[in-house]
Amino acid sequence: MNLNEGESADSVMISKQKTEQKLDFTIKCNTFDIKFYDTGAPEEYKSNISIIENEKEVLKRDIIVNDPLRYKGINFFQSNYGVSSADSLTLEIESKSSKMVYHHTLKAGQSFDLPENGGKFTLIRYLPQFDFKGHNLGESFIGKVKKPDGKEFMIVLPIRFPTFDRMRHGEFVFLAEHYEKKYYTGLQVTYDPGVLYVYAGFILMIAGCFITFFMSHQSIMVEITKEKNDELSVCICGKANRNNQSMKLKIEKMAGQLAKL
Amino acid sequence: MESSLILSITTFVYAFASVLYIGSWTFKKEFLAKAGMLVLASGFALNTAGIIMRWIESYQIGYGHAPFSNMYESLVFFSWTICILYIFVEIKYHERIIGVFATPLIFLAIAYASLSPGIENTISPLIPALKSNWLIAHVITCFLGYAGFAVAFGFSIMYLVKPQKTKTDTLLSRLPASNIMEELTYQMIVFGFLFLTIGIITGSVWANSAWGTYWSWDPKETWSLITWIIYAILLHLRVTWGWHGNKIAWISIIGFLAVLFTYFGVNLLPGLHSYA
Repeated sequence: MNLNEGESADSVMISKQKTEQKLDFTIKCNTFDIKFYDTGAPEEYKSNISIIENEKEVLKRDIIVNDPLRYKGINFFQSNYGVSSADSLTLEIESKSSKMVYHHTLKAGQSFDLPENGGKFTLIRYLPQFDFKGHNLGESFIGKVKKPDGKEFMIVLPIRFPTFDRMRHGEFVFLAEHYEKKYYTGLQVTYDPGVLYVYAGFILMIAGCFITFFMSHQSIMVEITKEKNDELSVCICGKANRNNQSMKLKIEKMAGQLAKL
Repeated sequence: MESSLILSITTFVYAFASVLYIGSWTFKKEFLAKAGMLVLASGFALNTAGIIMRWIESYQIGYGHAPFSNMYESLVFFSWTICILYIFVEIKYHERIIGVFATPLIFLAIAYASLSPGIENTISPLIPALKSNWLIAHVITCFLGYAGFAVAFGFSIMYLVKPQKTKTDTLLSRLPASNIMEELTYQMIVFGFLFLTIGIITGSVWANSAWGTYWSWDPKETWSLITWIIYAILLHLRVTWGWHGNKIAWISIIGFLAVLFTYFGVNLLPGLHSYA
């Protein structure tokens, strides 16, 4: 299941059957955080989760990789994450004619009037990928400008290519300066009442290996006969129900020790 | 990075031990093998110290994890496990010549770690997926398994090169008696098989507690299963069908090739285990 920050769900999709399974409680993702080491490698993925039953919060805790949440026999594992949307964008607007630089912060769907009577800017939406003439520009914001004369055109602001809008050679250059990311957390949900049986099976398997290798039935026979000339002859033989090769070596070793006496 | 220095010194100590064992075999000098054992034991002490220091250093840097997280650390630990297993076998069976084929393996593993330019020896932080105490149990058991198979491989080679019937004293006929090497191959494979089984099971329990699935057909998992099946077949053939001699030695060699592929080969393929 994927949960956006701040959202909640009371059912999960069963991945193979594509059916929805209702839970008897609601799970809410409060926040999602990623921490990185100085080297840039990820250090921790953490979802802060609340369990809500009868409109009351009964549990609140973090789920990290290797530390799942278990509630009423259902397990929630941190499995992936992504950016669901971006909240507020701070724009830098450069005017070509006056060389002035303006800043403005707005949310998707909001508009504001451009300075120097330049018309109206509307931030339409955030897109996780944007395809421009066959190239994927990655995370981008899409906006539009409506000029005072009624003409409209689209503005693309890819995060990875901040100067992209300069190529448009318009009256204003728009740059995405800063934005607030909203994540979604990907949780793997399992219901597995058979775990104990599986673990019991594992233990039996290891015990079984021990028994077959180290506890096979072995019998050793020693026969002492009196020869005609009053000499004793000793004969030893062995039999094992498994691994007769090792038994042979064992008997040879014993015979060797006896011969030395 | 004092641990890296100690581990580099360990490499040369192990090399010296191998030379002594080989010398003792070629020149028929028992005392060289005794000296080889002493050098090997001191190499083992250094190896242990190196691993412990690396563990402490990782805490000093602030990453704080057991030194089993990348190729360098796993190779150093592989050397350590083969070494402890070999020392045990030598003490138990009093056959010094077997070191001729086992000590070079100990040396090769750590030499590859220390000298190969492709292997990074810096202490790197642990990715989220590995942050679990199961890491220690899983790595130790798997590597004890690998070590058992590595030593068995050494014995199998010795078994195959030893001429069966010669009266003249040649280099190869001076190897230990065939039946002893055969028995030791078997013992080592049983040891390796038990630990590989436990290693796969701990990995599976870990996967279930961390991701909610026991097995995900990642290349390393698949190859460890292939290795496990090869050795399972070997044990069945020997224990219940009574196969022995050259046939078992060859299967042991094939099994060890599977171990090597499980260890190194699958790093070329993407998957959950691609870090080590």
